[in-house]
Amino acid sequence: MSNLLAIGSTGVRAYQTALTTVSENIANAGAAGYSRRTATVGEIVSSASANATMSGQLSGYGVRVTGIDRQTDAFRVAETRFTGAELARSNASVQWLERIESALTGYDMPARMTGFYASASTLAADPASGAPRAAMVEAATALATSIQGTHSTLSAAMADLDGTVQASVGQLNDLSQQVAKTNVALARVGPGTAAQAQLFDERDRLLGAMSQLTDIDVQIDQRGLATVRAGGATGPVLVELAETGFVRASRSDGALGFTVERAGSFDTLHPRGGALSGLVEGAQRIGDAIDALNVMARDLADGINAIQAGGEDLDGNPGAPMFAMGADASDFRMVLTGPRGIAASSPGGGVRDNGNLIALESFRQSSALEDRATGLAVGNATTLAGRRSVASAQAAIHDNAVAARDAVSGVNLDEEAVDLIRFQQAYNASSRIIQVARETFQSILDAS
Amino acid sequence: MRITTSQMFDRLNGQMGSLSVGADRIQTQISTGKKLVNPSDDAVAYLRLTGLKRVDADHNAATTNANLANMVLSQTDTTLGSVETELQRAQELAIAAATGTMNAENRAATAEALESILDQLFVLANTRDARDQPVFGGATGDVAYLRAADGTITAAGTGEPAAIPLSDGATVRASVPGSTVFGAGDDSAVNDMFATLAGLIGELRSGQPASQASMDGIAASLTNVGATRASVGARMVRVDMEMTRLDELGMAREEMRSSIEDTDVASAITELQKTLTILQATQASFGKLTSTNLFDYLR
Repeated sequence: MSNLLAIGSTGVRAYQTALTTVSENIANAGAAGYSRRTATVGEIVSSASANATMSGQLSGYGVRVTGIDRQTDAFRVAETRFTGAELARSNASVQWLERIESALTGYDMPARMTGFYASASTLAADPASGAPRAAMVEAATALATSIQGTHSTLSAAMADLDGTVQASVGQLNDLSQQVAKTNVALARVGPGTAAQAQLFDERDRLLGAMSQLTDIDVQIDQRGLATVRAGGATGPVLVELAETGFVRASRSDGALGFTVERAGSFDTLHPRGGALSGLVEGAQRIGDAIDALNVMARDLADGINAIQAGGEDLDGNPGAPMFAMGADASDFRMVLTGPRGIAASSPGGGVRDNGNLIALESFRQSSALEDRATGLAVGNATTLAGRRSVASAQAAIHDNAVAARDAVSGVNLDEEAVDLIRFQQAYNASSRIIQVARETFQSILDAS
Repeated sequence: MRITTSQMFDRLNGQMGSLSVGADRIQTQISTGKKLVNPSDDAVAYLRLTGLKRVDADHNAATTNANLANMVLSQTDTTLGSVETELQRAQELAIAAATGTMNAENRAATAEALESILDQLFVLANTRDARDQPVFGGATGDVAYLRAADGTITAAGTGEPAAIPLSDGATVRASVPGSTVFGAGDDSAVNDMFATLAGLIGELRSGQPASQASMDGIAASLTNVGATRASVGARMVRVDMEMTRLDELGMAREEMRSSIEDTDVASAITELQKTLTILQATQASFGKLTSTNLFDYLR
């Protein structure tokens, strides 16, 4: 009868563990990165039961929990990382293209240019008068402000991008170190334990976060330790066992580069996915936009100033420069001292001549600066629209990958409720076995 | 396939979020009246819209210029009309004074009258336009005609007045150089109106009848003024046509702009209603889906 009692007690213990596992699943139903666990129960097989001398034995030894299984599929997890990196890349580049768009449209440079030329056309109707001259000076100031403002908005976007790059790189380095720590911890835990399942969850969560930043290649050995390379299978190593590489970012103009320092050697990192890759593209685009703006500003200033110099102002002097800029458009400004300074007339044409304003109109046609400014915004807009549609497709792909992963490793509460009842009933039944054993034993005692 | 609990919540949350974003976008379109907010919404439409706005600004400037040209031209025409009237009076007086029957007092009186006509013509020749510039000043000169101490009147301005730009490279000269009307300028082929009248006055003061040369001179000047008025009138017609053309182009452009940029309110409201209906249905199904749970039945 003591055997009956022992079997009952193994059942109570095993199903208690199973219930604990189910309740942990329920409690973590909303936790990100949690993989569902199941307690597998199996019969206790004694080596003695195979012994021929014990062949008279009629009953077994009860039940035990053979291990805590973590429900996961490494391929689906890897697929989620890949799609996540692609999506993060598109989202990052969309973010910076939007910044460029708002910078290019905020000050409405093409409209300011048109306004400037239109004011010149109005002045041509009445070149000697003060009012249209003042209006043209105002239009020129507005144009200069819009060019300078566009430049400073783009520069501010670039500065923000630098900040984001530093933050992202810092995050990536933190994650590398955490993965290394997880590797160290994983080397010490036993297989099939809840602790191992927790560390695996943590490892996969960290790797998922890393793939948001850059495309990573992950090799996992039989103990579950991860070796992580960034920028594809041939890229520099970020984590190997307990060792980590340190990522640094540097930017010159639009070219953003990354290096990984590991054990004294330096490797270049070329991110092809993740936010870092989107940042590389963003830096490139902002740099290009600033360059194009600088060239346009230079062309405008040089062209208009040359026309000014080729004419005479209201006092019969050769026209002074109208626009000035330094090395770039960051200090683009209107420098004409007053409305009288506009060189409206051809040399010797007198105050009522408008020959030089006609030259301005032909400069407008030949330089086509308005078209170039509009083209800059349109080029960015088409790229942005394309990236957005790619991003929404990638979001759908990523959602599907996540759904496929969760189909294996996610928690469904109804399912857990069923398991809860199942294990509860098994637990209750096991405790009944103990009761029956006690009662049986008691009846033998009473009989004697 | 296992649908996890958190996935069910997340997905419904995302769907309701995107529906709210859609409703908000339509709401913005209705309240601003514009369906195109950013270039990236529709790059081609943005490009066309920018082009339309540029032409709009150019044509607004052209309309302002055409209005000004019209004003100056009508002022030129009115002034030339007055010049014509004065010259006709001078011609009548000259014809009356051409016969030998007129006595000396009458000749002196006629000379007085002609002198006041000459003064009046000098004033008219120096008329200033809406821009406060001499109408007949040509390209240069702050005054059109100058009177020397001995009474000789000469043109101060030379050349053609600057043309006023209209749309698409077209230009119009809003006034005429004085030398083509009054003479006394560089062009000796044009009869010098002031010299003719001064000569006539001299003839009458010296007791002679008006000579044939003076009569011919006045007639030549009248012809000049008439021809110039015809030219000015033709330019006014051209400017009027230009203004009508700009108006019509403006309306066509506005229609095009509206079709690209403006919200079709009826369809936007229908779309909004549709989005809101779907959102409500999603909310209702969210309530149903999340209200059932096996744990509710565990007692």
